[in-house]
Amino acid sequence: MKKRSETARGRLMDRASLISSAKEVVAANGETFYQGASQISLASHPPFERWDNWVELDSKEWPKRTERHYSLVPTTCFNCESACGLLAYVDKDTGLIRKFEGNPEHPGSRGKNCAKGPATLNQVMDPDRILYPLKRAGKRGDGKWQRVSWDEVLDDLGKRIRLAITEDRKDEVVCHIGRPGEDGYTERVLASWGVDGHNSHTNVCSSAGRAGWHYWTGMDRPSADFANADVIFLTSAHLETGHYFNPHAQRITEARQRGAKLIVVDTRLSNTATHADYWLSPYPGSESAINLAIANYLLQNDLFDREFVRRWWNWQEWMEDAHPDKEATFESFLNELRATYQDFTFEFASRESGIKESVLAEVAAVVATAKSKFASHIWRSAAAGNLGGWQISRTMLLVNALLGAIATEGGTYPNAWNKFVPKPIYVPPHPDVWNELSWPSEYPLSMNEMSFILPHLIEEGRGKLEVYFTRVYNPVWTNPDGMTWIDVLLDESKIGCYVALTPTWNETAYFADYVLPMGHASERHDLASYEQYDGQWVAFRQPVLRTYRNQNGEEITDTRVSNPGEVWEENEFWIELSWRIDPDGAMGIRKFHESQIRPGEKLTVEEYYSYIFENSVPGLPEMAEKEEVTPLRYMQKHGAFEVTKKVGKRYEEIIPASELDDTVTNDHGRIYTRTPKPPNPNIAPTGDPDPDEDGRRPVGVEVDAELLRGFPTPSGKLEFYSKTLADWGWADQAIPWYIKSHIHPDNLSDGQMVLISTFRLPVQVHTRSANSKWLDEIAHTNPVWINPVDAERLGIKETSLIRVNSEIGYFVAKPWITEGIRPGVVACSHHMGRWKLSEDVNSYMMRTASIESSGDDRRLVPKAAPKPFESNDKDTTRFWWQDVGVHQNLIFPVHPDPVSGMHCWHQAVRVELAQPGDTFGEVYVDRSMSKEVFRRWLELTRDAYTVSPDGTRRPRWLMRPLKPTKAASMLPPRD
Amino acid sequence: MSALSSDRSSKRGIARVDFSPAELAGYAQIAAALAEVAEASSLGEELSASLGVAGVSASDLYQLFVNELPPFASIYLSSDGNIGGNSRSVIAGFYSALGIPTPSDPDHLASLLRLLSGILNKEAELAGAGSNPEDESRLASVSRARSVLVNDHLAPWLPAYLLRAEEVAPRPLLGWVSCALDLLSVMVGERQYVVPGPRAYDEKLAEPGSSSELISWITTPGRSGIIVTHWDISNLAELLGMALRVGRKRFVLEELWAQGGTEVAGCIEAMAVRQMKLFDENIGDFPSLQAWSDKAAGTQQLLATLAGM
Repeated sequence: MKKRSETARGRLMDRASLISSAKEVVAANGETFYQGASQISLASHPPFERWDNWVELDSKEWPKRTERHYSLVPTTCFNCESACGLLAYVDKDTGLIRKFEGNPEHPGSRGKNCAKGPATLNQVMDPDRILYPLKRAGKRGDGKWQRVSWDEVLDDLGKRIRLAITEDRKDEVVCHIGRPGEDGYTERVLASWGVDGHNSHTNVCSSAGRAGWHYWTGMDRPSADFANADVIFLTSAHLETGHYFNPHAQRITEARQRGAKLIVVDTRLSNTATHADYWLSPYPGSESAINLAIANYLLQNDLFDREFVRRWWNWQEWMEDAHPDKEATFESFLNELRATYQDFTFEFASRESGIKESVLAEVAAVVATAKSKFASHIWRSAAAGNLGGWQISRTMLLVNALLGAIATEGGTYPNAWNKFVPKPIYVPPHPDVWNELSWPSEYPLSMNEMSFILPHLIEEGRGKLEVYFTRVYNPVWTNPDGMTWIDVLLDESKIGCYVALTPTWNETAYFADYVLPMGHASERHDLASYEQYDGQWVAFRQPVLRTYRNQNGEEITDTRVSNPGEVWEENEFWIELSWRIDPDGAMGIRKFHESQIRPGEKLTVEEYYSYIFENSVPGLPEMAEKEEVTPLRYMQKHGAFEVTKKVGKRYEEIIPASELDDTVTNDHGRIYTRTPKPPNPNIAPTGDPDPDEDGRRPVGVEVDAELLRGFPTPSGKLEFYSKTLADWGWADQAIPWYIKSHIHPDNLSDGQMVLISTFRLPVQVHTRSANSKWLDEIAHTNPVWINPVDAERLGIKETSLIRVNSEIGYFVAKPWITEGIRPGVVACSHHMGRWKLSEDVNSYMMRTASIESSGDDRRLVPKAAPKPFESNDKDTTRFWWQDVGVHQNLIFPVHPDPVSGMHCWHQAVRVELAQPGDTFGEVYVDRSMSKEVFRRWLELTRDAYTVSPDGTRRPRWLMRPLKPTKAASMLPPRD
Repeated sequence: MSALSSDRSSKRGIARVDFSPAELAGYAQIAAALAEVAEASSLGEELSASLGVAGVSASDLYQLFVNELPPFASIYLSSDGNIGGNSRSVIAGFYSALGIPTPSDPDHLASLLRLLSGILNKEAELAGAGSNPEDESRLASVSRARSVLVNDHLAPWLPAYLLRAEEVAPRPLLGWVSCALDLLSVMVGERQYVVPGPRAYDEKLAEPGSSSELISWITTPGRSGIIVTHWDISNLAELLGMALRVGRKRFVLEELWAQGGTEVAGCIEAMAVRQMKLFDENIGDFPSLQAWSDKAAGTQQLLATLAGM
């Protein structure tokens, strides 16, 4: 037989010639000949060139092989803070979204998603979602609703807000934001109304973590370069749930593959801890002691970056203020520094944390090996749990600052340098009023609004609200002390009109006057940019079907047309509402919501984003031109754009001579200039240090005779010593230090344990994800983690019911006996224990309950477990779980940290077996106790009236979402 | 540019190489195109037409590369017939030895063909660069890498795979199979020694203790020397008039065996004979098929014994 190889060479060369020719033709058209993998690896994605007509086999029709043709439209996930890229698969036959997968064009998430991304489909298709504007029909809280038109809603709200503004009741208009998922749109709307009405969730979330960073750097969070680190130090659960966890987890994994060491500090055995080289399970609140012991080890053994400390710490200020009797030389400083921290030994840290000295010493030695490749991260976690939690963040950064691992490859960056917030078409001036309900004088250093004590302040008679919006937020459930929220929401003399902007039912919306349906990830416009690696990107969230239908010849100019029912998006809602408030433009509001290209007409979202993409995102217009599309179209097609990467050490940048007009340099090297700030399309927020007495702006800092950009702090350097804290009454906490938490053993009574209540589960996100059947099937309950030693001591078995008693009440839960939690500590996860007061609302995750009030007693009484229901989705008749956990936050009194303002979540509790008659999921709260605890914590504060060094309400250089004018920032005379 | 013609035989019997730079570049082009087809779920028109697979659909690609013959080397080389394991690790080690990143599926045919394409391109570049001692040395290294890739990581399984693919592939994909056979035959053409088979080839055929063990043996190509596809099993069920269940091949065969083990054994014996013949006919092009043929013969003998009991 003739061998194949004898004739094959000729055939092959002919074939090669054909392939080469075809390849050249395709390349000449600017397309890709080899379009890539799509089935052999999870990392593979449909090649961009084929997004307009992507073909897949229909999995539901297997084994029949039916092809489905899709148009792939990118958008941005809205299910947590990460803003990962999604690709919506729009079925060309039905015009409906069939699934969501990752967007490989997104530089942060790089095509990968956690379970919450694809589960967006459940939320879009949720048979029980709110589709039309609803108005309360009975008394507030009766649960009776009638459908109304958007016009009716807008007219009513426009009138109420207009009156509040014109009658000088500007502080009666407040918008309470959950996870924003966008960069500043709502803030600018409120600024355009001239109200100081921004109220964020941040003081129940991350403000303590932010505060520690902000006092050091003038920026408010870490951006760790995990991928290039040699040692990663997490006081968080970043491989499963931490901040920006999907983009971060994939980069931590890359580092681990390279051999980087992973150190996880978490009292609970998280999934992240299971992957660690070192898992430290400290007594809660002792994390600062560990950080300081590591810092002390670096100092005493001369393992720190001496030059970095000399050049970039504000050590001179500390020497002058704290050690005026000593010579202000660097060597003298080092001596004082070593002496200051010498008592933070491993023995001390071991005593506080319960971790062996030898383990702490070993970890410290590993940290020292990292040098400038030390990536650390903290966000909520311990910082959010403890009195003085902000010092946990501050002491962690001390380790970075000693190693010189600030904005280095493999180190930790300040977030603002890894973030790009493009300047929009209008930037309204900041308001000329100060809202004392959000920024009371007792908390002058609070990082964010004191939103979680709002109902207490209103109850005290400090003010009332005419219009109160919650936007994708659920304070009754999410905030501590929800019963107080309910009491205040039910009182129409305190809150005139409560408006819930929400895609789905939640516990707070039940008490609303209007429930207004807002879109999910594929049903709204937003821009997002978050610090996830050493680079800057912007991502575009868009109403997918609006874009798809416009691509196919329709002209949709209102997102409601393409969304289900009359579901809207906030941007268009805010524009429309602003016009109703100021219909003729006389109030000066309308001009910020008018078209520039069609004067006198409303601004459209197309014009808004076109302006940004054409004018404020460097490099985007050029990229769009290469594809022969507009910048807006480019973003509609790709969903994200990387502005820059490898940002590097911004603080070492030399200031150009063009910025140095008539400069003055103070004794510490801070340089002030007459040159106006050059235009910058990136308006990512940072600290804004005050000008000098002659009005020159701070431009940089002189270091070793070089004029460098420095940090946005008053000194221009890293503020190891926070003169701000010292000047505002906290000189005892002005350097990184250890504060004994409110749940420190010294502060517990006999028999009390610590409850950790803040940890997230990988597949849920607060209450936002509750209408996703896929996620709910995976995680729907929250048993209380308890160590076997404690369980045996208390007579608790797996089948027991237990009572967990706080200062103000108790809840009844099920235990989970596990060695994943240390003795003396119990833990209960976030997200669970959802409830509804009406049988009319269906849910996979909410039990039906009633609220019973008697005097100061409040009870949440379970009535019925979730049960299957008929709908157009057959799965609603099939779901099998009935245990949806317990709403623990109701029994947490407010614990505002006197410095950062953060709610300190950890609780001192007594755990016992349930009593006869107790029901699983039941909650009891004593409102008189909740008021007493609020007042007790208020006594910890140092009021601006007492400590303000200059008569202002708050240091003006600190970041603030809305920054009132200087006049409004002055403390008014007290009555 | 002159044709490269040098005897690069080594202690491992590396073949003579006499491809011109143009040929090397052409083969690289073909390997890349073949790789694209092996991993795509649908193809661009230009690529399909130039490779001779015009009209191929997503369904065709699914049928061959997902359903009938998943192109992972480990399935055909391992002792358990599954994806992954030691066979995959051995191939992954080859990437490491070359100092290039290991892809997520190192033993997938697309990965291997893409690697071959890269090596051929490099060879073409060096071969066309003129002669200096440094380039000659690098060229020798690259040629050696190609030879190892072809003879150690492709030749032990790909000929058997492609010959079976020629029988079960949807019609539009026959051009791909033919082209791949051509390329492989040229690449292994000058091989002067018999490829030592993977360890699974050397194991003795044990007396199976149960029908389950026997079916496991039959559906493990590295042990049985035959490649059984869903298409084969479906034909077998139809021939015997048996009810066909849906599921993994082992499960489906077990269900058929329960309906008539002797008859099923007889059919598979015939299958082994036929595949043995197929391999024998192609040993001239692909010497590694000798090992497959020997294994198939052993399987045939065992099944003949069972069928006669």
